[in-house]
Amino acid sequence: MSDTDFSNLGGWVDDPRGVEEAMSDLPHPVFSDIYSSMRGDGAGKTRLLYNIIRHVAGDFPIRKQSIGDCVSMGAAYAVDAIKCVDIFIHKDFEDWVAETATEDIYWGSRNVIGKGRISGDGSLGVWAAKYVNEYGSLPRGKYGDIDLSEYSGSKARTWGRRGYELPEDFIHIVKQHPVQTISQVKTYEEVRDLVYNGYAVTIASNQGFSSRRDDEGFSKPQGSWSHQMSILAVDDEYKRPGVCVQNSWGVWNGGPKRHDQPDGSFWVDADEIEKRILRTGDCWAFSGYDGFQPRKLNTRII
Amino acid sequence: MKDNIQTIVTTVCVCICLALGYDKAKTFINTEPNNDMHIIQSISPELENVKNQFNKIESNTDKELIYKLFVGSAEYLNACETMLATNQFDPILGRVQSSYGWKRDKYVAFTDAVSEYLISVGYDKPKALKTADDRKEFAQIFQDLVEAIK
Repeated sequence: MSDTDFSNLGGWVDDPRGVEEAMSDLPHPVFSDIYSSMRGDGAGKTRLLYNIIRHVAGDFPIRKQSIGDCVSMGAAYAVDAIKCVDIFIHKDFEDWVAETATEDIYWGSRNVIGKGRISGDGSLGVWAAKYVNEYGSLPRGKYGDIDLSEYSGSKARTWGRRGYELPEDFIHIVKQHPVQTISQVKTYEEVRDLVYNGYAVTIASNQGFSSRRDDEGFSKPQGSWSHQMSILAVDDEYKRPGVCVQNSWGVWNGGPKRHDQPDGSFWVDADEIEKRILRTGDCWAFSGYDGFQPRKLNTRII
Repeated sequence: MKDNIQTIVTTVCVCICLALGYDKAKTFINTEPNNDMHIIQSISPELENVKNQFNKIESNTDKELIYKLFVGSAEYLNACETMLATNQFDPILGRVQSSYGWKRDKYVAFTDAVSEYLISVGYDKPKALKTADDRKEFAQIFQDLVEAIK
């Protein structure tokens, strides 16, 4: 597993100026603006968002990207998590439909928010965050002529090309399902308190990690990836506080697991995540998803 | 004379009946609404059909079980405070039915009739159960089924 070359899957573009520019018109660009009400909530506690996804969705989606569209993958995991938190914790009267599609997020981040500025694969974390906030995201399925039932890397690449347009009626559907808030996060404490409160966090950096988890489920920082992933759990109770990071390369790593973590994930020490990743400035907390009303009930009940 | 007596007796009887009927009607009209009391003034065509199809079932054991399931549903929904939405009920009912070895659609015409009734009262549109009134209204759907097959 460790010998596999993942270099073509790194699709995060390190562009601090682009991040700053995209942040300029966000209502709460920095999470610390709204932090006071939840400061310290997650101290000494554990929250496993991936288990909430399992509970609501019935299974945990394992994504496996085939091009450099990791930014949309990380964002989609975060949307999955907040969707399930809305249903399970906030008791929103909504249905889980399917895992979040990625191709439209990739298209929107590059073409709608990024305005076609990137020529090869890849995107910025903030662009995906802004797209799902200002537009939205959809579960996998068919929308008229647009088939998003199954992941397609080639579709993502085609849609991500400069100037590619999607039909207005599709965008109209997307816009009915936005993420309500996005905010930049920079410290482990913020991530801890956010995840504890049911937010999900996308993380983007050039930091790579070992494909072998240690005895406690942690992976050590190793190598370089220009990559976006998602934080789907925090454990501040354990002697070794940290976060569980979900990657989108399928079952790419191995080794012991903790808290029944999903395949493809690994724990990262609190100080490492802050020092090596959160400081990039392109890490985003998502909360609140405008979801789907439940469908009609079965009336053949007897 | 005989005719006169008969006329008088009939008139008195009619008056007494009317008086009794009026009294009942008056009592009903003057009674404060009571959520625990349910009076079916006229049965809907859908419930009438449920009743007819139920009566066509020959097995008394099955009839008894269907009755128990509806009574149990109504009582459960009246007492339950933890259900947050109507769509949470069907899986519960399904599990109870399985535990009794009941298979849905055993009597297709009866299932059709119940389904038509449920659609007529809006059961098919999922609703949040936020207040005690929401829950009582939902329970009433099953209470009416009970009354129809009594």
